[in-house]
Amino acid sequence: MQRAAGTGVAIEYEDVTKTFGDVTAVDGVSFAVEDGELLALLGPSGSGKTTTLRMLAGFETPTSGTISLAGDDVTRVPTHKRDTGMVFQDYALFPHMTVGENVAFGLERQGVPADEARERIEEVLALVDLAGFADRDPKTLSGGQQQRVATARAIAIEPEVLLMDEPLGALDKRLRDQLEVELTEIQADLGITTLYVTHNQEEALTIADRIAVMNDGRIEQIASPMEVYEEPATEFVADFIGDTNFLEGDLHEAADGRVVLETTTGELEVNAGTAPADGGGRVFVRPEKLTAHDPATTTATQNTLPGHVDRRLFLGSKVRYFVDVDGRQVVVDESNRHASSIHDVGDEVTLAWSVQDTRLASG
Amino acid sequence: MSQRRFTAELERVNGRLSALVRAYRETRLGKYGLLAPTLAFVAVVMVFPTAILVSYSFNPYDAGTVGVGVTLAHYVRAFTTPLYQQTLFRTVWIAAAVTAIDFVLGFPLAYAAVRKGGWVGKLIVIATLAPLTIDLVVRSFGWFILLNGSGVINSTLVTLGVVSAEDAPKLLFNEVGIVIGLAHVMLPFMVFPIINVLHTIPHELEEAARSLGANRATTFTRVLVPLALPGISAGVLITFVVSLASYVTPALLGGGVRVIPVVITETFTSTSNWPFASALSMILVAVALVVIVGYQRVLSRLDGVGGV
Repeated sequence: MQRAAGTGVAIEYEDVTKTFGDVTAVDGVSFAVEDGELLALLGPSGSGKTTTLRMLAGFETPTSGTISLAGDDVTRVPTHKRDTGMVFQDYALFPHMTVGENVAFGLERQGVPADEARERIEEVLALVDLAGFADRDPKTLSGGQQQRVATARAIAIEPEVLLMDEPLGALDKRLRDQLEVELTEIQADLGITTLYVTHNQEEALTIADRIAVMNDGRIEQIASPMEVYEEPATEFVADFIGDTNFLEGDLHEAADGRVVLETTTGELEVNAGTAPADGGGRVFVRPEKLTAHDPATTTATQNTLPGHVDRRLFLGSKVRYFVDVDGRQVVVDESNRHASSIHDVGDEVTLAWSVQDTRLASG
Repeated sequence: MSQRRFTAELERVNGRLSALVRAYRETRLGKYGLLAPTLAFVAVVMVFPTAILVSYSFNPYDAGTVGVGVTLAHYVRAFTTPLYQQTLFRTVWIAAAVTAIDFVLGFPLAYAAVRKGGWVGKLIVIATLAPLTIDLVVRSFGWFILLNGSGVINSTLVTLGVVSAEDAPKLLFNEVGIVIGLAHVMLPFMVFPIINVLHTIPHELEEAARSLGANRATTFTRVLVPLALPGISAGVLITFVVSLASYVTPALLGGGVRVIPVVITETFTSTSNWPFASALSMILVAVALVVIVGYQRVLSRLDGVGGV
């Protein structure tokens, strides 16, 4: 079942649009997924991510555009003739069948001989850590176990791509974290191309090779988790993924070519080649990129803003400050290195961060 | 008695009364007491008349009245006379045909009502229920207009040149008429139990089956039918048993072609042979019971999902 990663394109969407009545759920989406890659479709509810996935499963037909699976156009191919395995949020196990019969269902459709099927069932159940569960009634299993059965059922048929629609959405936090790791290990072991829908940004950052951030039926950015986080292509992406401080002011290019943001409390240098022609666009910096220190120890090479601590959350391994900068709130996350250096509410502080982390949220 | 003592006494009495009511509810009389009105009603309108019919069916027929003595003659006559054999057989197969037709028509209707939802679903429910608001006799006369030799259906077929006037199908006063009429009357009894059970089956299960390589037919037989079995079996049973015993529609649309309930009524009213009519009634009841019991047996043997 092992497959080499990155040997070609497994999934390709070309200008795919889906409308329901006068609502456009998916709006001209194009992207490709490499063999063996796990691509997460991340976005808020109503962003079109689930519809995008369901069109690959064949549950919805695109209004326009084409979808290819392993090089073949499957846009109009009925679901049961597509080589896809689907995992649903609510497991969708057949309640009138045992765990083994659930897994066997797809194998029977493929005409796998009974003894070979029995072997394969044991194999995939062992893979999801449920060896010996074949005769159990799925209703007696926990949510996490049911979802693992559903995963085993989907991978038993050795599909070209695995489709997962919020597979961890119905589970509690601890189970989610655990299953997140297990699912990605299985996915990587099998090298199976996976399209994974989630609204949970942490989940997407943890498991995905690449993330496609969706909003309003369009893909805002498609890139590696680190790139999506560090270099968001649009303001929406910057805002949706992680916590963000947006800074406002007048953007312009200085005489020496540097891009600067003129704020009410000073000038900030921006990590950008050119300033937008219209002077618009906002600048942002992540809370963990900032340090809050004593006003006396400022270094000149960084961007700085003066302020005072308005509120403080002690979170154990880190401290979160809400700093008032000329009436505007800036969030600062500092790791708890030395308990003695934690600021108190009301302290005057200088916020400092590198120019590199001062980014333009374009778009 | 002072005010305070009176209040205390009242509370004591009240407490004892509540205890008495609680104790009474625990007794057999208390438990079944609430059922008594219903049981009495059923006894008066069902058990009592049935018992009379059972006893009549073994009495001889004596010159227009119920005679004295015990005889099996009526049952022997019913089972040995070709006319009654044929009628009994016809009654059962008409009920079976109506049930089969209503399942074939009703399941897709129920499925569409549940899965389409919105105004389509509501329209299906209303269209299925609407005929129930019109009296059976009125509905049957509606079918007259549609089905008779020169009725709407046949004249349309002739006008369109599909058939000639001589070859127009005979749709009324025969089995075809009865089946069409009954299938219409019974449809809601098939559709609604199935609608109820389909509401409990998540659509995702069908999608899961489809993504595992099952076509529509396999998804229907392996996923939908097993899970919908409680509703299907309720619908089938009600449709069959009520069709078996129905009188008005077959009497009006069957013409000279009779089913057992029609024969029973005619025997009671025109020949006044109450013992023989009673025997026919008991045979019909027995057929229904055999079907119900046999059906339950089969269902309980089916793996997993329970019967009615």
